[in-house]
Amino acid sequence: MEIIQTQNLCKRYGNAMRVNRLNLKVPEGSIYGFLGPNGAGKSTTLKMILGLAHPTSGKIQVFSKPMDAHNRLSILKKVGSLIESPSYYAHLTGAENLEIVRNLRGLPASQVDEALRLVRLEEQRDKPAGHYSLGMKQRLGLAAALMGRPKLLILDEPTNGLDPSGIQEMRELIKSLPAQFGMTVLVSSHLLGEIDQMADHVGIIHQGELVFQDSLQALHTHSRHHLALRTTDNRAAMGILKGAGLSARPDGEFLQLDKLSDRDTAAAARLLVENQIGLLRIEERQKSLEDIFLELTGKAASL
Amino acid sequence: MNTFSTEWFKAKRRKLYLAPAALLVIQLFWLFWALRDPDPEVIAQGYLLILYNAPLINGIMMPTIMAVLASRLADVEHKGQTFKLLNTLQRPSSLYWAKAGCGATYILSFCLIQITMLLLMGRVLGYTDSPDLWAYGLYFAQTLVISLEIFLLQLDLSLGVRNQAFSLGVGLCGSMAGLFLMFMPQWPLLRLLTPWGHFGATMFVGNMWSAETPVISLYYMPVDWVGCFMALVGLVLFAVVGRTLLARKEV
Repeated sequence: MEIIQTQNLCKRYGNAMRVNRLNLKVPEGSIYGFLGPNGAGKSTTLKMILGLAHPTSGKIQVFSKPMDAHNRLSILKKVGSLIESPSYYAHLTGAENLEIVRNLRGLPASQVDEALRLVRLEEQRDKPAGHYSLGMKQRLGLAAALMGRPKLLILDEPTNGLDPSGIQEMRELIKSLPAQFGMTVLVSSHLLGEIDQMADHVGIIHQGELVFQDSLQALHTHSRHHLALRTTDNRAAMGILKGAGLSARPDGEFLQLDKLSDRDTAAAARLLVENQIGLLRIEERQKSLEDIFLELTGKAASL
Repeated sequence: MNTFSTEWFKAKRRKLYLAPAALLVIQLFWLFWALRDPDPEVIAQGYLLILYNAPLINGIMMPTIMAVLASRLADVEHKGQTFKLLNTLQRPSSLYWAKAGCGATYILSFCLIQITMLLLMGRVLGYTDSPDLWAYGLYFAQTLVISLEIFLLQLDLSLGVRNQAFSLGVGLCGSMAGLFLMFMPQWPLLRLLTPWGHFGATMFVGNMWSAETPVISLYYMPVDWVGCFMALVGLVLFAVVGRTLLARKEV
């Protein structure tokens, strides 16, 4: 079952189509990594899902209910969110900031301490939020999102501004949420490596369009092994290999072949040598996730 | 009720009342200074003189006081980037009414303090006439409604525009407009159509003065109910517009 489903979701700002016919499907209980370069339309999409921005066209369903003015608040009672930078009142302490969320959500008083404990801010609870470090503010934002243990957590670039240990800590916390509390997490990032370590489902957005959506495993299958050959005459070699029923493609100074068994590899090499073509290199290669991301978006993996 | 109590909770340690209260004290000192006159003719109509002067000073100072109050209530949301959090927890309209209610409570307190101080001032200055309670009641109601009207306009601006210098600038210009419109009875429409002109438009004490006999003679004028009605219209209009704009605002 999909917790979030969008149909042909579009958002236009002036003449720019920031989100274009997006069909997002976030399965229940998953950690869905929403990946894309900066400015791809991730935050706009997440804001539309939360009802903070109005779609130009298209439909959004959350918990199988249409996200409209009528349903919005009842849906959002089961949703926690942290969009872009954390929201906080600098003059109030961490605990007082959470007290506001608790009051508006109508939660029991114990929720404040529980949320602070989850993000390890108990010792900073009485310090004004304005004196927090960026990492602590981010954790306070996450604590606010976790108040009331929502069924769905929407996090927009939650590791932004964190130091490496903070990133690791945040990542581990996010990974633990589905098992610990049965939450579904939709987390956006522009860092492929981060999503690779956290998510089990991936959607890749580029220039407002969803260019890939499937399980992380499916994304990894794209990174299949292949053979790279360099010969004294690549062009003639490609003709000979194709004639023998092998799918050879040019790849720079190399020819690329789908992965072959050892026996077929030996046969292909023998065939080339028999046709007076010198074999200079033969290598087994694997396409990295970065290569796939680059293919899909035309941009480097960490942008 | 949750949203209203939350709004007060947010104001914790911010001393929102300080800047407007300081301006209120200045306003009272100004009035005191303007009214201290040992002339027996003045003392004999002192409470009327207060009702003549107070709207003048309100017209000059209230737009700035309201701008400061509205800005203090709104800027905390801009600085903390909290709209995107609050809009997932409550209706934007609830947030608007909570802020308006919070401001209205302050304004009601200011108006009560002000009218109490004016009546006390009359005693301190030794005025010999008696305050007309109906007239003072009307003055209180007018001050409350017009201040609320201007406050809501300022709240709309402060919530809508992140840079508070803009809304404070409008407040200061409003004070200037209030001053000039007070002395432009020949342009009644302009006084009726601008919220800052309403203090002048609704004045109900007149001053007869001539150069030959430089004695101030004050008298009650017929109440301009159109002006009072326009202030109410403005109040409702600014509330509806502000609520609607906040509800439609994308964050």
